[in-house]
Amino acid sequence: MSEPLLSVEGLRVAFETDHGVVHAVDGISYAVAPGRTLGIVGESGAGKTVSARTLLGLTRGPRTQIGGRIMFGGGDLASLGEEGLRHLAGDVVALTTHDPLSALHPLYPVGAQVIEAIRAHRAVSKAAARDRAIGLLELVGIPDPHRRVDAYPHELPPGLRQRAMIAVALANGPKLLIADDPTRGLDVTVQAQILALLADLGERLGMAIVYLTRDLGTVAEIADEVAVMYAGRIVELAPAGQLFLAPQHPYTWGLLRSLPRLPEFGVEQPVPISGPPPSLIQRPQGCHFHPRCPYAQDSHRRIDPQLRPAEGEEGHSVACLLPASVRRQIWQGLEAGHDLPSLQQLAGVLVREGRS
Amino acid sequence: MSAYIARRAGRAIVLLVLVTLLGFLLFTVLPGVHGSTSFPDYLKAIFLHFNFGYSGRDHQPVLSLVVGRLPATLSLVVGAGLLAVALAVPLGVLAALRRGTSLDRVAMRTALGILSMPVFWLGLILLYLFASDIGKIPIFPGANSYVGLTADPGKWFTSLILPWLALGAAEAAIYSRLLRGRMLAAMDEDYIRTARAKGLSEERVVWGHGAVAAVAGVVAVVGLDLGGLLSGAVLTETAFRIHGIGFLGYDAVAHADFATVQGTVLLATMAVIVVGLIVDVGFAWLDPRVSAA
Repeated sequence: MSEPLLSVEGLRVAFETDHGVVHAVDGISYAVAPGRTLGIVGESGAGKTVSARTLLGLTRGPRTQIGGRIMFGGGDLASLGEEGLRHLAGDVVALTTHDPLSALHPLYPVGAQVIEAIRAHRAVSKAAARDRAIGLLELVGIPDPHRRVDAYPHELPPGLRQRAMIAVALANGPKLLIADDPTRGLDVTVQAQILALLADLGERLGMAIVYLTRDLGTVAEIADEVAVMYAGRIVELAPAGQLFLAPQHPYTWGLLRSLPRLPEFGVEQPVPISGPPPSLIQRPQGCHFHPRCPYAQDSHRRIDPQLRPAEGEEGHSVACLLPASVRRQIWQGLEAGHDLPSLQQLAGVLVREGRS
Repeated sequence: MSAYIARRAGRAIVLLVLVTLLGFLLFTVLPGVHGSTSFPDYLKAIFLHFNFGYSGRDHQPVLSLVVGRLPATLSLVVGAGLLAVALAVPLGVLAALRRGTSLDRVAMRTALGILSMPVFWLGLILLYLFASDIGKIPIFPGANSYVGLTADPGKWFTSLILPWLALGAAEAAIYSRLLRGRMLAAMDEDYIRTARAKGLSEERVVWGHGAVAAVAGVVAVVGLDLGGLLSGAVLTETAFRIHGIGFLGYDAVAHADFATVQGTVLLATMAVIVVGLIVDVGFAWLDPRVSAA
């Protein structure tokens, strides 16, 4: 891997609330090389969005504690002042989100919102910025951009609205695009178009993308690497192909098995992960996933697993207390379609044998 | 947009006719009124000949009486409106941005206090404190001092300071509280985060994105509150004895000059309807989602 463009090191974000401290992001590390796409997957509340917004300083506030480093372009964004961040935000690092109907300003035409982003960072005339905005709308695949530049967000269909949102983010040709679940709430066919657009733009513009989603299915289509987040931590990090072929964390298995019908993963009917996501104020002792993990052993209630390089492929890390051989056998069993009780029994037997 | 304007204008015309009918009925059933025209004749007189009746007391058509009083009322209402906006927008926005601070608390409690005072009472208190004739600190011209703008611009201005304060403070109190609420809601919206993510300056985020949305939301309410502004004007004109339309109506009631009462009430209602239409169109221009609905 070449020199990373973005390197997040031990990032922590905690919010003080009236109910206690919410540990939204709890020491995550990852790196993204120029032109590469990192997918971050997890349920809502896993800390994806908070970690991404923190990159641009958007979570700062009197009741927020931020720790760790966000290395970008030779500097640490976490310790950069408001003014310095403002120069980067929307220029070299840009954000695009879901729900463009509320994320775009309802009282300004989409073109004006692109123009505003350009002129916040470049001393160009209104006319030149407008030409560039039309070019950007064309780039993101909005038909008839000369007319659509004056359309208000509510006048566009959802797919085009999301494209306009992406055009705002691309206004100044960023090196890093943070895409926060841009396909959420879109029709499946439109989702595919937006994903293809992002993948194409990343390649054509040589832009690195941090792509956040709850949907492991969409990540397969766009990411080079995937980080799986659970309760504010990365529990598994692997090259995309590796993650889908040989996932090593029980939570990742759960995510894969809860996808609708993927026969190649040995799943005929989607199997949901049981139980609710944990509270981020009072997190479970030991492995945070143990209350929902079918293979959890007694010791997992006490010991907190760390993210460590996994056996096998380079660049594959996992935070799981089950021995690697046990995990391999369980995954093989899952793929072969064995039922859960027999695999749970297998896990128990294997763990006991491994220890003796 | 033009379809929206046509729709709203159509509704306004229907409303005008209904209001005319109501005014007609009200004053034909009142004891002591010797009206003998039919409603169609009355409608014709009003909408074709602009005949709003004849004041027996002033020996003038009601319309020319009202038109003669219009500059005073316009001076009062427009000035008070501008003062209210100039006070309410910065106060409402700042109170929202500094929520929970002493600035927020003091501003909002003052607003609530002013809101609870009747306009005429506030007017009388201002006269008692500051009027040059009876005031404790006699610095501004008091009641009955109104001079037309064309007659003497300087005296026109000073004579209106206290009335503007009385009426403007009440309006500013309403709008600053409304704006604070709208601004708090606006600053929590996703588009504010987008604006920050674009690297815009904080001033641009607050005023260009937050306050714009908050003000647009309040403009919609202004249309509903025009009647309130007008009744406030009647009370202010009466308290300060400004010879405007409100005082004309008050005087006509006091002297049982029914034709004038009927004419001013009708004209005032029409003014509210027409200005309401203008406000609605302005709001639709500010927020294009309105005309799409």
